[in-house]
Amino acid sequence: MRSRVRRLLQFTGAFVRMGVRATFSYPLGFALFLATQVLSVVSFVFLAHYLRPSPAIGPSYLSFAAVGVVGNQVLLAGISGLSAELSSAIEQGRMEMLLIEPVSWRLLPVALAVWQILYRVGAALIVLLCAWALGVRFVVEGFPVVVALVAAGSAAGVAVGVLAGSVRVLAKRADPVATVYTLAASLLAGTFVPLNDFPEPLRVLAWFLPTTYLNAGLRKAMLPGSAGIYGPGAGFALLLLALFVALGLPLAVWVFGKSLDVGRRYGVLAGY
Amino acid sequence: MERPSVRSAAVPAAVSGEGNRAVPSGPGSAPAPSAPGPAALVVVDELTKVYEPSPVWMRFLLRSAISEPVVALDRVSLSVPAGGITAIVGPNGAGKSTLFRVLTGLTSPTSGSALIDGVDVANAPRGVRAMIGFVPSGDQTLYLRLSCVDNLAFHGRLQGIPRLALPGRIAEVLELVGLSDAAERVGFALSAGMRGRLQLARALLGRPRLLVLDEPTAAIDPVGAYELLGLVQSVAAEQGVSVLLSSHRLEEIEALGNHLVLMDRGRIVYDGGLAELRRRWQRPRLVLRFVGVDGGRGAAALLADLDVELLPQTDLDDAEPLAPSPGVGEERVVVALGPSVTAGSVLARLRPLLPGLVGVQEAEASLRDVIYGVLAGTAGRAASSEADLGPRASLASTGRGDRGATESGMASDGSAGATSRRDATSTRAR
Repeated sequence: MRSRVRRLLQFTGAFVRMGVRATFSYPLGFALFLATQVLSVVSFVFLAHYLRPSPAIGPSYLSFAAVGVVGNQVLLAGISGLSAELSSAIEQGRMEMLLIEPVSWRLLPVALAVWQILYRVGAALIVLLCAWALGVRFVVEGFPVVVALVAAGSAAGVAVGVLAGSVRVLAKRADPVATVYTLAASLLAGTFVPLNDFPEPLRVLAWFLPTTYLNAGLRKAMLPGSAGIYGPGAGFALLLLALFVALGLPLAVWVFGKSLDVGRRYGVLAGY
Repeated sequence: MERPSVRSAAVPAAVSGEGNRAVPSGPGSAPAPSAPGPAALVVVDELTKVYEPSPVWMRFLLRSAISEPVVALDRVSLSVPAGGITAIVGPNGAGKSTLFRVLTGLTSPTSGSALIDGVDVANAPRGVRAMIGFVPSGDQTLYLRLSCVDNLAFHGRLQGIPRLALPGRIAEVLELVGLSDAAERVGFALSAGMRGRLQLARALLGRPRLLVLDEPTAAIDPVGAYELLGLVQSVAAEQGVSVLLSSHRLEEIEALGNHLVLMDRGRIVYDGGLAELRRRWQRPRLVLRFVGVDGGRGAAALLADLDVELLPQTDLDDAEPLAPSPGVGEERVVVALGPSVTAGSVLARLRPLLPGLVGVQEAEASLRDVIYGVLAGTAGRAASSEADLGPRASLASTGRGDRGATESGMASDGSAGATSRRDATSTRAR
C-alpha cells in the first residue's frame, strides 16, 4: 500500500514538475495570465458601483463576483485545464508515449490535472488578494472550510474533466462535455449573477452543477452577511461536493478506461 | 491441427505450417522459417488485428478513416530471440506499426496472442510496458522546450525509477548514447540525430528487456542514422536487450539484421536470416550493353521462352552500381535470370545480336530487389492460387488494404514508394 502511494505521488509529481517547467518556459504567457486575473477583479469594482448590496449578493457585488471567479477557477482547473493538457498531448503526438509508459491509464488524466489545479488555485488566491486590496473583507474563521471546499471542488472538477477527457480521446478535437458544462455553469451556477431571482426550473438545473454549490458554499464561508445568497450553506455544500466526487470520480475514471479500450480496439488511441 | 501452447517461451507454433509465419516458396525453396530458440523473448502466435470501421455512435465524434474492415495483421506468428536484433521490413501498410502497437498495448488484437517474456500483452499490458523501451518514428514525443535531463527525468519518474537512483541512471544512459555533453541542452537545440539518441536514451532508462524501434531513423540524415543504429547494435550486444526494429532503409537492415521478418499486407512472407533470404531469392542479373542494334526488342524476342525477366531501363537509374553509364548510342538491357538459367544460355540465345553487344556484366541484385521479388512473388501467388495458401489466401484477397502489391514501396534510399508498379512496367520474357 505504501509503495503504491509512493508510486502515485512520484507519478503525479512528474506531471507537476513538467507543468511547472512548461509554464515558466513561457514567461510572457504566465505574466499575461496573472494580469488577466487581476483585471478580472478590477473590472467588477466599477460594476459594483451600480449594484447595491442586497441579501442576494451579500455585502457587495465585488465580493460576490470575486468569490464567483474563485469558484469558477477551481472547477475549471479540472475541466478546461485537463482538457487543454489532453489536447496538447494528443495534437503534439505525446499521448502515445505517455500511454506506453508503465502507468495506470485510468489515473493518467488525474495526474495530468494536478498541475492545472495548483496553478489555478494559485490564480484564485491572487484574485482573493486583489479583492482584499480593493476593500473586500473575508471571514477568517471560515478558512478551514474554504480549504476543504476548494479541495472538494477541485476533485469535482477533475471528475467532470475526466469524463470530458474520455470523450476527448475519441473525438480528438471536439470537447462536448467540457463545452456544455462550461456554458451551463456560466449561466446557471451563479458565478456572476445571483440565482435568487432565476425561474424555478433553471434553479433546479443549477443543482446538477457542482459549481453552484461550490460558489454558494465559498460565499457563505468567506463573506460576512451572506446568508441570503441562494444555495446551500458551507457544510452542506461540502457534503454535496464530497458526494459528487465519491460517485462521479470513480464513474468518470471507469468511463475513461472504457473509452481507452474503445480507442485500442478501433486503433484511434494515439492519432489526432 | 492441434493448437500449440502459447504460454511457453519456446514456440512450437512457429514451425507449424498453419500460421502466417513461414516463407512461401521462393525460387527453388520450400518454406523454412527460422524456428525460435528456447530463449525467445517475444512470442507472437496467430496474431490477427482487423480494424473495423467505427460504429455509428462513434462517427459523431470522429469520422471513420475506413469504410470496410481492414486486416492489418493476418495470423502473424513470430518470435524474437532474447538479446538479438530482429528487423521488420515491409512496405507501407504491411502491418509493422500495428504489430508494434499491439506489442506495446496501444492496440488490442482481434485474435491470437503476443507474449513478452511469457506475459500476455492483452491481459497484462502494464506489466508488458514495463519491459519495453519504445522509440517512435519522429521526435514529436520529446518535450522540446526541456533539456535532455528534464525529458529523461520526467519519463524516469513515470517508469517508477526511485528518486535517488534517477540522476545516476540518467547520467548513465546519456553517456551510453553519447549525449553527456548535451545533457542540459533543450530539445530544440539538438540535431535530429541527437534527438534520435535522446529517444533511445529514454527507451533505455527503465532497463527494458525489449527495445521496440519504429522507423527510428526516418527523420535522421544517413550519418546520424548510422551512429544511432551503431548504438542500438552495441546496446543489444552489451546489455542483452532484444531489439525489434522497423525501417524503410534497407541498407540499415542489411547492416543490422541477423534476423529479418518481411511483412506484406499484414502477413509474414519471410522470417529468417538475411543471408538465407539472399540465397533463396536472389536472382543474378546480366547487364548487356548494345550498340547499333535494337537490343531491348531483340532480347525480348530471343529470350521469350527462357525463364528470365527483362527489367526496364528505369531500374538502372535508381539501382546500385550495376553498370557504368551508357555511352552515346548505347542501349542497356538488364536480364534477371531465373533459377534454371545460366548466363551462358542467355548469351547463346542472343547470338544474332552479338555483333552489337559491346559489354556484359554480371551484377548482384540489391536487397531492395530481393525483397521486392519476395513481395511480388507472394502477392502473385495469393491472387492466383487460393489452394496453395489454404485459408490464408481468402483473407489476403478480401477487402484488406487499399494497395495493390505492385505499389509496394521499398527503397534503398529510405523513401517509400520509390519502386512502384515494377510488375506493370517490366517485360516478362518468360
